[in-house]
Amino acid sequence: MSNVFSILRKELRSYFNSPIAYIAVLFFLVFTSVWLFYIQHFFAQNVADLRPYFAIMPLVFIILLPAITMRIWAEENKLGTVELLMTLPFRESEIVIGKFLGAFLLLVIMIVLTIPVPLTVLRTGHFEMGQIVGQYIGLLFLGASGISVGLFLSSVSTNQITAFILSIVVLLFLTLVNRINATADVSTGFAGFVNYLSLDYHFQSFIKGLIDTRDLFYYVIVTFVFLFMNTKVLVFRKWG
Amino acid sequence: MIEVDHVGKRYGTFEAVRDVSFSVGGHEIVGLLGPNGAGKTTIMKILTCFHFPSAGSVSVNGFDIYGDPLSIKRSIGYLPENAPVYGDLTVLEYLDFISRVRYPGGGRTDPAVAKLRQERLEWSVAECGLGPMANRSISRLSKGYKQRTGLAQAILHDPAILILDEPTSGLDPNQIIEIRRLIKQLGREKTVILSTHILQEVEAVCERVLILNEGSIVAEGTTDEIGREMKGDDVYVLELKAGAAPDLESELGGIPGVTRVTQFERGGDGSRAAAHLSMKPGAENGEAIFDWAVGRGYKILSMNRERVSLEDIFTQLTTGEGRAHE
Repeated sequence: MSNVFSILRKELRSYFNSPIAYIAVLFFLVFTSVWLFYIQHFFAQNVADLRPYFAIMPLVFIILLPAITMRIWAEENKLGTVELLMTLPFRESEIVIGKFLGAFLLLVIMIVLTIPVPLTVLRTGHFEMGQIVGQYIGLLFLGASGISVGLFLSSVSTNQITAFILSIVVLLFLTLVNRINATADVSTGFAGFVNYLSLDYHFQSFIKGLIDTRDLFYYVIVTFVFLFMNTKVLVFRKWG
Repeated sequence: MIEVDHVGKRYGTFEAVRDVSFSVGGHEIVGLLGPNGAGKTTIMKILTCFHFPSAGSVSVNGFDIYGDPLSIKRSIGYLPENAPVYGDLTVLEYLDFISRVRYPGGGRTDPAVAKLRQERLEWSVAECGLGPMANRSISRLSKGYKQRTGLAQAILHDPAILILDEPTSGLDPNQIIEIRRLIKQLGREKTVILSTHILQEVEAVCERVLILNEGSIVAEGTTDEIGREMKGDDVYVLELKAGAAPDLESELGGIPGVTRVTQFERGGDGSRAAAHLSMKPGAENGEAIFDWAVGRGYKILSMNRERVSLEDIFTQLTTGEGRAHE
């Protein structure tokens, strides 16, 4: 456990010593607020519901999460520090979990920084607190799975830009894949399957404030599978 | 301490190391010498459990590389090639990270570990002369300081085994002397394996050398042993007072055992005559030259015996000339 914390510490220090974390935080907060207040005209809508605010999150995450995760492995691969990391007395899984938690904690910080948005609008109407809590929980789970996807793709890249674009493409696909059901004529079985794959589909019930264990389970599985594959990438690398 | 048994390593179709076997004992400084691409770095990657070999077996400190890589990693300090370091951390942050990995635990519950960690960190910073740079971001350091940061990382936990891949590359001459002194000092109580393509480094620091070429060991032993094994000639440099011996080449050729004489000028004003003599190895060679000079009434200004230099051997072994010798 101590090893995981060492990695986590180092990752967070790296984030906050470079401008990337600040830029990502700024982009996230400004964009989502502009979206809610200017594009969605939150006050003009006159509805005590933050759904539009959270509905845009999966799309924002498609850009935001790769920006957080792209450097995690790609930079180590490029600078050769991966050799250092892999020859320190860590288990592969400890490194992966430490790095994952580092990125996740950064995301948690960003999400915490959005709390002023609901706080400021709370007194303007009768919001359902339960719904907002559900929305935030969904956001954390959605973020965790997106980060594990980005982390895995970074581990197979030697270049941050490759990792960034690769992650955007994969997240874009995983998020929006259920939209083909709306445009193409597909069988219900296939439609169900496609829906099940989609990161966005599982987020819909959280937006309504419902915490469905099936959706939680899905996000946990996605997170676990990609972290597991990441560990395997490290082991396979040893065979050069 | 380290046993390498018939190890081979392929990267795709490229055979980086083929059938290499050697062993290293405790408190020994061993140099891996070879031209670039000879397989030095690959061997180090295998010893540090970064890569698995494609063939053969390796044990380090009694642990098998497949069975217990974590124990091996704990007992090794490793400076990879080009000393990779985290640019976005400061020197202290970086070494703090390493010290937390090397000495896990600590904190409020265990102040002894935290204290030890702090001591070791300060020791390695001082030993590598990093004091003035401690709070600088590593990305802003010169190549030399980056190299030293990497070295500080490797020695921080006082490992039983140190593996250093080109530890002095990028350093200026003063720093090189400093680092070599440090390595020699560490070698008294540790096993050190260092790779280099600089011959003087091996002669200055190492007790034993493995010369590698194209993935195989082509010579092994102390520098003297290798020299003897190569049956190089004894080489003397002789300097005489001039005027006395106008034609050294033919006169010296008369001494028994002399195989080659090359005369050259010393001093430039014609006051001294000098020559390189190659002689078949023998204990009385020096005497024979002295007797020859006395017999003729020549005055010897200086006479030096040159060891067969590692440089000669190295060139022979790694450019194909040595092949016939194998």
